[in-house]
Amino acid sequence: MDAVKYFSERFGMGLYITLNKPSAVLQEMFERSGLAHGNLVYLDSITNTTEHRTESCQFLGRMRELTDLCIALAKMISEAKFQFVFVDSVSTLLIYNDPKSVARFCHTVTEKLRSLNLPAALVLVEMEEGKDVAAQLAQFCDAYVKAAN
Amino acid sequence: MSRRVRGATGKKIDRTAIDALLDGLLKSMDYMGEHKQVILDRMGSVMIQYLVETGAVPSPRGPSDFARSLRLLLIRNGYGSMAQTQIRTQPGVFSPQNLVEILAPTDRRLGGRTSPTSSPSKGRGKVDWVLYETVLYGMTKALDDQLGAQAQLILDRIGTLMLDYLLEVGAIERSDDPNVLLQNVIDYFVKAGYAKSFRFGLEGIPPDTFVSRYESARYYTTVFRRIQKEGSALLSCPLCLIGHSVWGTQGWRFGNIFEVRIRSGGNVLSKVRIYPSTERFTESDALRLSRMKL
Repeated sequence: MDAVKYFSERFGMGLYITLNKPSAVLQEMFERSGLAHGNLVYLDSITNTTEHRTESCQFLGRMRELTDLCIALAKMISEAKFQFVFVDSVSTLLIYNDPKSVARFCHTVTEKLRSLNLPAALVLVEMEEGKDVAAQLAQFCDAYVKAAN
Repeated sequence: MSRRVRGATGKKIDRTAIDALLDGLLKSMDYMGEHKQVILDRMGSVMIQYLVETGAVPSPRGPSDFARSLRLLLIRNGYGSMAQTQIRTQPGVFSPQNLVEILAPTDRRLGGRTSPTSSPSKGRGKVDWVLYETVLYGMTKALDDQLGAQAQLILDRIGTLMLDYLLEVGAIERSDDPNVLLQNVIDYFVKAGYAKSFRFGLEGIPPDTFVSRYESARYYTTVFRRIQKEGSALLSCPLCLIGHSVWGTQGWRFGNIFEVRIRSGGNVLSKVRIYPSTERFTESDALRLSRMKL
């Protein structure tokens, strides 16, 4: 939560890719913590719903393919002027994707964002299952920040 | 492919099932440091809340009634000595995490040894289903609150650890053949009282859907339904988690349940997307997307 607030205060409007908690839950959490309403637009691939768009969220449906995610992200970036992108979380992708595909997906996304000069954060919870991916991500990210509980 | 097993179901379940679940949960979080305690504290609170809401114990607003009723429930289920100690230490006040501690197999309490073979509380007999259900709900809700959908990785690991436990205590017969092992797992859960029957099969060419059919599977009418209503994507059905582990050794990964029909009485049909071990985001996918103009 602090990381999102930091990005929002520093850069402005952001795109929050949520694979982990429904955007409605996050919205409520962020509003309670004082994050200005309208500072985040969501790309939601966890809410159990059909693909549709609202003012503040593009719903993709639960656990979509990595290519679908990539295309949706590219589309949203081309349609609106975001100042940062937040991916929450890479760990969720590891439930139904092999680590190599997840690392390649993250690499593709970060390279794309880098080419657009868009700052981004990839969140990964430290779990046994994601250790190799974390090491790979650290190689093509500018910084690897370990958050305390 | 279709296999079917029938057995008895009731308001009780084999104690080995709850022992295996808690052993798996506690082991799976051993490396999580301070986060482990945060999750266990939350789990304890949710379990108490669940017991009150289901009417298994009265509300803690009347502390003496609550403590007495909880103690009776625990004593009736063979957790007497731990219940006495834990509840006596703080008269009138019950620390939520104590409930996890009380129900855990003896060798998992207070950082004890991890081998289940020496556990005095090791599962002979049955426990009330409500206790098992409470642990399942508390665990799932706490993991979802703290970690969200990514907690499925922990749940899947719990499946592997539950299987290890049940093999070690001899509740499930070992086999090097994954199909035979899976059948032994199903036999165990049906006999333990988890469901009256379970059948599974694959759909799609090549197979991309795992179809499960249960009779009298109480988990789905209570815990699963409630968790889904609360917006959680987690699946904590113990039979499924062990199944994921066994199928995982064959390179399969399980996605989310994309179709589920739950009828009264616990008759359930669920369909889960399954994925082979092949790469699902290839170099050509990456190249195509990196060339996409924005």
